[in-house]
Amino acid sequence: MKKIVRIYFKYSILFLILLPVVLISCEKTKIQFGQAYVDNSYSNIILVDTITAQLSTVYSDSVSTTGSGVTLAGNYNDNAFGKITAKSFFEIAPPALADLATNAAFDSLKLIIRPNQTYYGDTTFNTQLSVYQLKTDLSFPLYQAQFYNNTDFDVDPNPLGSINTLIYPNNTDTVAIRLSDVTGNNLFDLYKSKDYIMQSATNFLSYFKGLQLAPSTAGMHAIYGFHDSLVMRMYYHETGVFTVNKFLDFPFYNSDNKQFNQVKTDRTGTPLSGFNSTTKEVVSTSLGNSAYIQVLTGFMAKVKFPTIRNLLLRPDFIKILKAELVIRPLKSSYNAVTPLPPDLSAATTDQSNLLGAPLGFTGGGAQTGSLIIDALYNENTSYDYDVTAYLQQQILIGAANQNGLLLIPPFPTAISSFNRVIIGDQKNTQGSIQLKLYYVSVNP
Amino acid sequence: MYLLTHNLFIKKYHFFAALIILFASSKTSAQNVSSPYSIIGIGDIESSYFNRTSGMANTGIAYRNNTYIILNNPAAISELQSQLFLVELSARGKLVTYSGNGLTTNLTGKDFSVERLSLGIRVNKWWGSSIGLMPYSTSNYAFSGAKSLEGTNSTLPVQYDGSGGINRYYFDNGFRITKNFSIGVNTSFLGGSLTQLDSLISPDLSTALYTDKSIYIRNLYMEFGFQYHIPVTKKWDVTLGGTYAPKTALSAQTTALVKDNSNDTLSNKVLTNNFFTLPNSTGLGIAVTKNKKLTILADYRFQDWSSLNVRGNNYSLVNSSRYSVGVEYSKQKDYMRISYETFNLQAGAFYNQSYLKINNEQINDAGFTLGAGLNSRRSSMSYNVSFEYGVRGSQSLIKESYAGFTIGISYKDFWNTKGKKYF
Repeated sequence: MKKIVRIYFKYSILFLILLPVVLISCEKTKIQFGQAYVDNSYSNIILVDTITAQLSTVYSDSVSTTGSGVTLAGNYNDNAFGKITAKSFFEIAPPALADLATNAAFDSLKLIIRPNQTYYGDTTFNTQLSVYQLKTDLSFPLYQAQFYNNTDFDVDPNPLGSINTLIYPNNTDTVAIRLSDVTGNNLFDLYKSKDYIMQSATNFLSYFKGLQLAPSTAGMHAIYGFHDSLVMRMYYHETGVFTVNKFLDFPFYNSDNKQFNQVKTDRTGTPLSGFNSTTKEVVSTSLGNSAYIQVLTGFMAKVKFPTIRNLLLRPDFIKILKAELVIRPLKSSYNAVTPLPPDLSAATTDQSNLLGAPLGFTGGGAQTGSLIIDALYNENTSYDYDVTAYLQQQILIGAANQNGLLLIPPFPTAISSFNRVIIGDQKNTQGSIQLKLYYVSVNP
Repeated sequence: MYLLTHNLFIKKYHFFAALIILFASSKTSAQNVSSPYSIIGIGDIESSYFNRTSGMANTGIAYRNNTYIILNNPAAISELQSQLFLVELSARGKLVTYSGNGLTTNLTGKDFSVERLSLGIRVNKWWGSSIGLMPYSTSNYAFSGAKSLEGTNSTLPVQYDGSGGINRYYFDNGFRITKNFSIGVNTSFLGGSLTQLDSLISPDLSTALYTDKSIYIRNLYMEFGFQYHIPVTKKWDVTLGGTYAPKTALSAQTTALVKDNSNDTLSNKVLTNNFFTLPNSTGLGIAVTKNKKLTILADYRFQDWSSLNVRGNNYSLVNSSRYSVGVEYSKQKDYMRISYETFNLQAGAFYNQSYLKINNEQINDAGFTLGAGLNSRRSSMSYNVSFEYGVRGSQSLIKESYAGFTIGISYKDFWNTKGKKYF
């Protein structure tokens, strides 16, 4: 027995010595020899760029413009999208009540708006903007809580005020439009007397239903964006030893979320003239091998991959390893006046053309195309998308697959500016869509 | 099975189980010294027995020893001392420097791994037996290359990594036919896999493709041998030995597993069910002993690969020949009229023309060895250490200069002894 214990003890020590040595794992030295003896034809990665990315333009005759945070006004004649007129509808609230001196007297009433540095068109021309008073309440249609680009409300045809000025969107601080003295005086008296209608926004809105900011029909040079934090300012003075000039602010009111922009388009004579409430989707081949994107006027581009399942017919096909979708704007379609939006998201959709979840990155976050502008040659300007995961799903869907990706700028940019993109299909020489698909090939 | 029923073995089975686990785990983890040529055929065919003959350049077809497990010739095991029970464990460390026209700078690689575990026993007066595990061949290489990206003009970087090997699970039996003539048969199961992993990792595509091609090899492999001992004079002994292993077709199943960077299996297929044939192998050896102390040995081993007509891109398998000589001095001591060894010193040299012919050039291997062994006076342990230095390959391809050492530990015990011990 004693001996066995001794043996065990001895071997335990031996193991303790041997074991760590055995477990030391050295890095295998790489010796550049053997390439001639490997048969690497068994598995491979193959690039296919012949799979159809079918492009179409999808039209929607009503696009919600509620909650854009922007007041749009102006008009522009875009030779691709048509004659576009933008008007903004909004409400105004009364200032907090306060005692005015008995000798306080009204001076003037102005609508003060601030450009938000976005514009669409040529800003070197004078713009005429008018302010109209609404004749009816801004009330939502039944069961809805949104207004659309085609929503309209009656206004008093006589403007409360107008201005004809040059707006420098990047420099102009504010634009002040002098409004009617009659209306101004009237509001001043009501305020001074602390009338019932000045006591709350609700009361006020039943009397002063709101304003419309609209361009004149002439010009058609540009549409401007303004911050929605506009204000209607009432100037008055109090007379004492010295005359003191004062003002009262009637602020922009949007607690009921009713501000919206109306965008109306006359597409006569443009490539898009065929779209109407019944013709809502046109394939690129019937539209000059291109597709159009401008959400405010109702246009989105849709990409479908109808032949993706042909990959399954290849005997060596195993799996889509990577797929990259390259969207190229037509060379002549963008310039300083009509620039490309920096972000263009790709929302999943089906035959209904309703917006689904946008394509994301594997690690999270939405893909927005990472626009590359080839300023030198204009050749390689593109939006790129990783559609690997998307196509890995789509290839599994049998039968007629009507799913696709809708290309639109992300919200709210989509409805706060007139971002426009015209892209080419696979046959368009001015810029063609491309699907670069890498798949795993294993010898059948 | 006679071992299992044995009293002594049962008492110590914990120890042997642990030894086997250690051995098995080390076989899978520690083999990683690159051997570029092992990409071809079934890898590097191991010419070492990791035993007492390692210090003599593994020369030992005619070698017999009564306290060590000698596997160079299946007949040798019959020499074991009566009632002796042996456990041997061997490990090898290796340091290799790579040079050659194919390399811009010299590179080195090293590893250490347990290579052999054997149990040996003298069953009865005429029968000695051993069971154990040792390597038959190993494959280990790594290099980078390029794979063309189909559909484009560009290529993708690819890393190749070869690993694995064929293990030899053997059952060796030697029989004493007459006092001076023994025969033996070694029945082995050769089994294992040679794996080539190619990793296509593309930063541009931010993806990867891993293809794991493995060849699973298995079959029984027989080796026969004889040894004839001639006591020439009182001083001089001569032993002649010969071995023969007939041509054997090993079943070789090739499978391929393709995975992507998220470790999803994309494809897992059996590609072929083939055979890899080992050719007829013969060995001849002679040992001359003076006063049972000084032994001079010479071996010749031959494998008839050419007849199998195996050839591939730029290479072919050709007849392999290994020539080796060794010398051993064994210091003996007498104790109660029984002589036993206290220590030994060894030296050897070899020249091996391997089975690989690349670009019409046979890959050769030459080197020398030194060894020393010690029998512990206080315990039943023996230790052997051998050193090896050699050069393999050619300058025009890859030349490997290697230095290695083999450590052998041996534990002896007597079974069924009620009487006294002899050492």
